[in-house]
Amino acid sequence: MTAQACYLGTDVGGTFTDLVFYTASGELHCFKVPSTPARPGASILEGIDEIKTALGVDDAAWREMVHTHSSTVATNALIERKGAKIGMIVSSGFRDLFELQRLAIPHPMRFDSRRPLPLIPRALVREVGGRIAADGNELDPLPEADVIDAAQELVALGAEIAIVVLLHSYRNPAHERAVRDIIERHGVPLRLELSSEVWAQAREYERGVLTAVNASIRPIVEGYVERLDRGLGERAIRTPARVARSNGGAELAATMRQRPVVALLSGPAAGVAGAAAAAADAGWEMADLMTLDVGGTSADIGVIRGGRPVLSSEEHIADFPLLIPTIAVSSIGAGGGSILWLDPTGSLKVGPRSVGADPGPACYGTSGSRIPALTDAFLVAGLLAPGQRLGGKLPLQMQPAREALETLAGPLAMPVETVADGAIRVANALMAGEASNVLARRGVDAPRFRMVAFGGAGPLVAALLAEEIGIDAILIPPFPGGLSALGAARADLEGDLVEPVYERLGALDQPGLARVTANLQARAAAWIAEQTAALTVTGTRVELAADMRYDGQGYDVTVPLDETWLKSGDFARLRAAFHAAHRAAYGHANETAEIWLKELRAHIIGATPKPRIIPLRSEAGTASEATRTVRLFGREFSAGVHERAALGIDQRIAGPAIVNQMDTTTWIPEGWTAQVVPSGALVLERT
Amino acid sequence: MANDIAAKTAARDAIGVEIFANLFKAVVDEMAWVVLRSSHTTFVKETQDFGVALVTPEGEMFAYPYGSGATPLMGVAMDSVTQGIAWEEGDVVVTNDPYATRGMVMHLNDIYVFRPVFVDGKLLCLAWTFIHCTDVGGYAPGSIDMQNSEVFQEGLRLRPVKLYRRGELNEEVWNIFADNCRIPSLNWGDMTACVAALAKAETRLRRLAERYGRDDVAQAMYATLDRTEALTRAVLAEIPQGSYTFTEYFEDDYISDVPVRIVVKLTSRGDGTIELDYTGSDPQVRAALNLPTGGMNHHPFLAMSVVNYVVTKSEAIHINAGILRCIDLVLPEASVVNASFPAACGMRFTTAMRAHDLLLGALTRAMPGQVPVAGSGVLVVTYISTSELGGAGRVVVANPVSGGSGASGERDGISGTEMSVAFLRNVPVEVLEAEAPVVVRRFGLAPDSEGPGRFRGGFGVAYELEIKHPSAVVVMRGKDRQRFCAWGAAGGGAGTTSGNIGTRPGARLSSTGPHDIGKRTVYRAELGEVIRLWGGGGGGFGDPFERDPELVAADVAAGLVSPERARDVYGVAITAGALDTTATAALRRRPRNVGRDFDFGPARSEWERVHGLAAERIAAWLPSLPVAVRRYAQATVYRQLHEAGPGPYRADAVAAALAAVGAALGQPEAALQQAAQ
Repeated sequence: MTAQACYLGTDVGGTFTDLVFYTASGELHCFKVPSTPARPGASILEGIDEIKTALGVDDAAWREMVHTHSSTVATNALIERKGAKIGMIVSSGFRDLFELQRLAIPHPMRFDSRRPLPLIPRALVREVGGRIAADGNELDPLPEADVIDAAQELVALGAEIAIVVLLHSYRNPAHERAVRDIIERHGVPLRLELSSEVWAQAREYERGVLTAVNASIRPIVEGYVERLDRGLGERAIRTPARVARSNGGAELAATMRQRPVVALLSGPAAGVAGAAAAAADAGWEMADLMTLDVGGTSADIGVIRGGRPVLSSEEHIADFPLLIPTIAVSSIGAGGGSILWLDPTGSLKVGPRSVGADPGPACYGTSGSRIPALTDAFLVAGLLAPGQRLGGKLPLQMQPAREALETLAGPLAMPVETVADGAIRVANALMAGEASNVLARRGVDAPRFRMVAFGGAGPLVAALLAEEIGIDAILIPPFPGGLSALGAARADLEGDLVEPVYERLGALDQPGLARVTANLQARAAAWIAEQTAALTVTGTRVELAADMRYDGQGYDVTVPLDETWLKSGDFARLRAAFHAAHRAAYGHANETAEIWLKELRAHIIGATPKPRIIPLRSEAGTASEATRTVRLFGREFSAGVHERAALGIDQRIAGPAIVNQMDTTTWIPEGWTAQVVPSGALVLERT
Repeated sequence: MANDIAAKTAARDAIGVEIFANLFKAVVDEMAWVVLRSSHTTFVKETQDFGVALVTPEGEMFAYPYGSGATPLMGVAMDSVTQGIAWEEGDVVVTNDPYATRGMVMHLNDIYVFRPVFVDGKLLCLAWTFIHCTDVGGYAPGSIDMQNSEVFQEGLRLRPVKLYRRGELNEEVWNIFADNCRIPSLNWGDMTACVAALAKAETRLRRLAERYGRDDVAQAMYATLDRTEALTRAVLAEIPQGSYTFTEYFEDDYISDVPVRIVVKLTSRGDGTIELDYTGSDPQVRAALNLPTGGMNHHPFLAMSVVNYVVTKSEAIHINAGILRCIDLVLPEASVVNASFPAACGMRFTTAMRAHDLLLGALTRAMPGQVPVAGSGVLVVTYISTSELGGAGRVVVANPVSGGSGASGERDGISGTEMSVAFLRNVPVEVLEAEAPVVVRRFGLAPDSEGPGRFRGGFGVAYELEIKHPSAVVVMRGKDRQRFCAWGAAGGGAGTTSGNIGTRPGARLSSTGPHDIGKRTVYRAELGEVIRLWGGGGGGFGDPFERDPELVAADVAAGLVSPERARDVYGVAITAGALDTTATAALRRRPRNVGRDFDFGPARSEWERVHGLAAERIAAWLPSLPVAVRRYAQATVYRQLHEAGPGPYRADAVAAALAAVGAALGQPEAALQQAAQ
């Protein structure tokens, strides 16, 4: 291969690590290697070696390769609660910040529902006096003795790290910083994380959780980054590693490790970012899209508006809130492994429990299991075929699948085929229900959106789901299995900063607002300078916005703002922008009400070079070679079966039809057509 | 395609029901998000006091969200509105009147909003939302004062009225409401959120009808209810056949020291239905505690913990009014659980909480350990009002202050919240202090407050609020359990009591100390005064000496149980901060009196020792009196008994008091004779 710029993206999942590689000429290659959960990062190095060998990449290009990594390493560490012993120092009177959380329990109608176990147990929480008020003024001074006592007690209990979460530190971090100074001055061996430095935003519980998550995943993420750096060095790759962030962008691994919480959901976020890129490649620019990623145990749903993934500050992971801007991805409990069962009245149910990877659906035939799962229903209904391999696993077997469904067919007094059909329709209604829920949460009216479907089972169920929620067009990217890796590779450098204001507009003046704005811009400039010291960018920009609300209102609206309004103190424009944004979001505005400005936000973008990806195969289409009988909605369809690799650009397929490829199967129902567009994506449309 | 699906999706079979139930749930979930996203007040946004549902024309809720909003209203019968209005397309009906809706609405702060869903010109069903309005006028900021005695004091009342008629806003209706509440523009913001959610429901249901056919959708509404009813019967049939009685109290009625007694006889008929007979419960009171249930045969507020039991025991049940069909009520007229016009009812949720624990008691008798025991029994909703300041002022909810929940035979209780209010979220301190002139000095657990047991109750909480503005008024409503406390069972101990005190700035300097605020709802604090409210711990279950010593040691390490309490109550020795197994074994070998029954705490036990017999006789006698004088008669009998001596009161003394009071009220001789027996 000749010396030209090349790009690598990786996504470390629980079972497999996906890698994509392309050069400036846009030729894309996908690889898949087993993950190495015990040594996070090692699978990436193994994959890299495989790529080097397979493609014979030129050494000079190899040294300068731009490489970006997304992973679930941090997420898994958090869920498994593996990490250092962490203490917490809080304001006097709030030792139970993590015990009480936000009071409510996850399922208030269930007697057995409980709040998640606190990230830091009460025994490792200490209070210190001193108090900052909501306006940032000091109410009570911080007693030095409190700090020393707290730190020494925590050390005596075995804590190596402590987080400091003092009230209103987002507004005035003086006390949190003083805690650190005092502990350093007295030489207490306790590493500290200040909530005001992790993310300076109001809401003490949410900010505290973010800080605790950051502290608890840091050791694991550091190990991962170090292993990666060392391995890359050994392979003479000189470009510094980039990691995908939860905001869909990327940053240097070297800076991310200081605040790993920004990368917590990088895998799913990169998938949505990849979907946005695939849609743009296919000519769906500035589109409003829902993304659907269906795997074995769950389906992830994201939202893209105007071509950009929607960020939210109200995401959760393992029942813990994430205050930091994150690509909004919601998991719903329906996947190929979802168990089919009957409730005591004989209603057919799907999930939420899953057979998991072991034993897997009965049709895997790996064990004697006859627990019916949704994949078994897909096989019996004819959407999948015996002998087909899913995600590199064993060939599917019809007999165990039928036997598993027999366990339901008997009590229901229905043929196995009817049960399979019914299970798929119930699963579809369930997914439609949960998808509507998460879309509504984002303010999305589904019928006005289009869909991007990926993951192993996404393209299989996409059209069924789309019909149920009123979506008429679906895009299946060329490589539905490697979308997170591709999203990571193509990510821009993106950072988020927040600067507290917390005033009514009427109480602000021009010099004050200009000062806050200048401060935010200086921080943004410093961030981009650090990021681009060793990486090429084609341009940078900073998008300013503010979280604003009407006085007395219970929520904020994030309003994009012009820098000049802020600097010149053009309050009329600021008010008008908020009223307009509120009207756009909620249909009404209150022009006479006072407005609060809570915080200013900066979203920083350092654009990276993006070669156009070209599809690998564009030979002329071949006709359908076979048909298969598919039973759905109580009817039998004779569906054409096509190989994706054999489909030519612009070739049109009318449903009912099935398109197979290595990493997924696409179902095109009656009343839909599919067409391969020049980017290599398959576009399904309802006719 | 659409018609093919319609033809093949039989609405009532094992597959069709499941499909439609999920699609209906999608609609209510979407409605809930529309309300949540676009409502204005903190009460809706932060504490989630709102609800949505889809309702049959006959008034049964057939779809209700599981994960958002207020859960306790699930299933309330709505026929008073759905059947009582001449519906036209585009109508929106609002009401907040308990007495015009036969107990559907239960206090004036809940604004119910309805919209009919028409398909092809025919009514298919109704969409409903409610929001808790922070203020609807009346005497107190926030509209609810425990000491209100008539509904007229609790704000503006709207019988069901068309806010929109055929899509046209009737501004005059809104203006009447707006002019009679303290925060009209915020309330309007919440109302527009409700109207938007209802419009969304109509759009979605029309799409469903188009895709699956109107008739199948209509059939599926009823089939979904029937399935849930069948599933509920399967769960309730597990309750051993028989009758189980239990008694609960408010320790007083805010105007006298006489407790308000609520009794139930839970009968499991063995066929999967149960009857809850509240006969013997006290007459309605002259305080805002009355629950106006309209004498309904089914009502969620008087069946809450049975509903939650069904939901807990039935995996993936579709939550709808089908559950309530299996729970029949028998309600005495003009009683605290079935109040008549114009009884005040602002704080009726306290009564629902008491009924919640009352039923837990009856269920505990039926199957000990299968359900939690009593929680703290309080929810003091705290507001800061600066409405005196006029335009610049407002009413801000500070926090819902509750206590711990009760333990069961399987797990410890929850700290700091009650099962019956476990959907409520707190308001972040950093949000509250930016909006109201207060400084929160503490929000934390109260050590040693839990009811001990093999499984212990949840710990209570303490909330401290420093007042930073001379015009700030603190509103604290829902107080109770300052003497009586959460009960434990099967050898588990009672929890602690709740309360509130104020410490004025001067008192901190001198040595006068804090003063008791008592049960006042509206309290004008001094500038700089610190108010402390606390809610008690939940009850325990099982013998505390059987609690895993490691768990006791963990509570000691967490600072939640003192080493002394560990030793005395749990028989667990902590030496140098760690569990001492040898000493623990020795402690636990000591002979002691092991209670295996309920522990009602000292105040209730003493009340019942003295007044138990009297209470039974009075309850049997009251129905022979006119409704209007019952509570008066009851209080008078107790006063006469108290004047005669300290008790316990025997049958003859009680009979004499009944006769004297009855005669004074002009009761016929025959009734007196009957009562004397």
